Amino acid sequence: MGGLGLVGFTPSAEAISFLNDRGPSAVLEAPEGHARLLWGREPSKIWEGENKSLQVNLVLQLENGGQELFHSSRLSKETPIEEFFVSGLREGDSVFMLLGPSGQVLDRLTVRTQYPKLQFVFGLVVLGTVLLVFLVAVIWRGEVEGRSSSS
Amino acid sequence: MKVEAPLLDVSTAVALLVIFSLAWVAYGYWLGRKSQGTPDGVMLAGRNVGLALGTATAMATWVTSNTVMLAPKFAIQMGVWGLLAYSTASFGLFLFAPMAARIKTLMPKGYTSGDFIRLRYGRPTWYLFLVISLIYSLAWLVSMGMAGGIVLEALSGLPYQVGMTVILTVCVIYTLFGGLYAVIGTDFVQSIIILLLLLVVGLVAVIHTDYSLMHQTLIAQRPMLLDVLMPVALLSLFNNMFFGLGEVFHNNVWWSRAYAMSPQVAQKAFTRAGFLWLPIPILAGFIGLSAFSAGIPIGDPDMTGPLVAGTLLGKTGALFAFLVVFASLASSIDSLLASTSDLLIEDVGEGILGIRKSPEYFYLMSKGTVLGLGLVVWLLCSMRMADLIQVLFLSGPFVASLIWPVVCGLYWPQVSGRAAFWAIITGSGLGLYTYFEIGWFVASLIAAVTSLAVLLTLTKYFPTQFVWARLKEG
Repeated sequence: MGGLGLVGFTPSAEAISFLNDRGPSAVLEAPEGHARLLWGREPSKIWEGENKSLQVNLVLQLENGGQELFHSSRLSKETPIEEFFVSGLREGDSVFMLLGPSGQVLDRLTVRTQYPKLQFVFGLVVLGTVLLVFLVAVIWRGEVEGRSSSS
Repeated sequence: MKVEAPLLDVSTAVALLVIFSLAWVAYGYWLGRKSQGTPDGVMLAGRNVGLALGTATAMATWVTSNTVMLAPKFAIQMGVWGLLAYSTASFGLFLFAPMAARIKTLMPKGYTSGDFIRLRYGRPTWYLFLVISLIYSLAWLVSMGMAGGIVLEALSGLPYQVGMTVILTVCVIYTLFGGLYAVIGTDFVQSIIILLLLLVVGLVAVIHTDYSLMHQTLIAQRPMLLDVLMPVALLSLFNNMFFGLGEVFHNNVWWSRAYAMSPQVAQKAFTRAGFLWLPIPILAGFIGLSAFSAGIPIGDPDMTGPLVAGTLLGKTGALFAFLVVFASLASSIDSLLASTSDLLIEDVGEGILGIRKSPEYFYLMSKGTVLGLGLVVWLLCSMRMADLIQVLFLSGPFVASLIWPVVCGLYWPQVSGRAAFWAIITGSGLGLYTYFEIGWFVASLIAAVTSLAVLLTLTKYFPTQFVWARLKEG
């Protein structure tokens, strides 16, 4: 298909500036159940020496004191930024960014609401379904009526 | 976008580019002999395209670089729903199939989608439609040209400017010489290349994938990819569907193919193209997910497909990735060049400026338009402006707001030009607002819902009675 994006992810200027200012960090925007995370690190600082790539884990601080891993990824010098979606986060949740197997805490983030609530999401899903059914019905009925009028 | 080391060496990439470029140009030139320089020949391949060529051109045009590069990215970012979300673009082909037959029946002499909007709704709606359609087509063209340069650079180290220029030049030359005959004929061969090579890489990925390991890796590293209720993935499912429907329903790429076939052939061709296209993003997405079990580190999600192909099949896989990307780009760029030129000749040239497609001038008009359009696209691609890509993303709500004016305009005589005009304006406006306020994953859906609500309301209170016979003038 044509219109759904182009190869090559380009983060916004604000995001790059934010990431560069803060070093190893993340932008975490989440409603109930949905979040977008954009993270990275200024290449000139972290990729010195023999560092070819970096394993970073994101863990959610649970209410019982435990931690739950919800994303793990590997960054490299050429691709220090990744965008992806997560779910299961709520406003106010604490998320830690940990460095590879060492578990060194790179950053701590508090989830803030940016995206629609879950009810809104499911409302749109229902709306999309109704819209699709209606579209098929319009075409189907149009075809049936067209055939009967021509015969 | 760069990978640590190119998957193919430059000399192999140059050799492939030269061989395939010469082959496409020679084949396109040979096919174009049939066009005889007439409007029907150049713009619509003599209005007599058969089922095999019709199916292949519809399928190949819809396989863009995004299909093979973005589908794996969707899969590794949004899991199975993301993979299926991309494949919903096939609904556009399925639902356009009966519409294509009706278009050809109602407008046997039509040339463009603009012809329909002008005759059906009048000039104000037609102007609005032309602005949206031309900007969308140009953005799509530029994004494909840029993708060509970027992907070939990432795969082989070939400089961006060289890869982009070669792909655009090849497509311009054979479209220039052969018109729609060349576009459809080359699409046929390109569709076979895309299907066969993707099938080989997909099969190798299926055989090599340790499904248990894949599942364990996903649970351990990306558990959210297995969450069937991931909201953004659910939203993207419908958003992509309506974005794709808007793209197919309004764009002259698809209308020109409808005009080029008989009603019976058009319906069958689009349906079969939908079935052939449907598994491609699923296969490409699966190849992306298989990277987790193969232990392939994904640096840049856009490069997942070529990276997996290169890892599983070595240099052969990289070569396959190169050929698939080249074929999918060429099959889309040539179609867009031809159909956008048609829109410029028929709607802007004849409709607005009053330059008639007379036999003595048409040859020069058609060649000049393709060449001029190619030059504009090349200049915009040369600037490598990221903002232009945003135009393509932003076009989602605009094209989605065209769905109902097109569909209802084809089947309901009561819909007026005023209803269609305000449906497009309000749908685009609210869709654009939600794009910035919420995100891309709701914009097209909101635009389609708003557009329908306005169209239904205005049709109920201000109905008209359109006479279908008026469309035969087109």
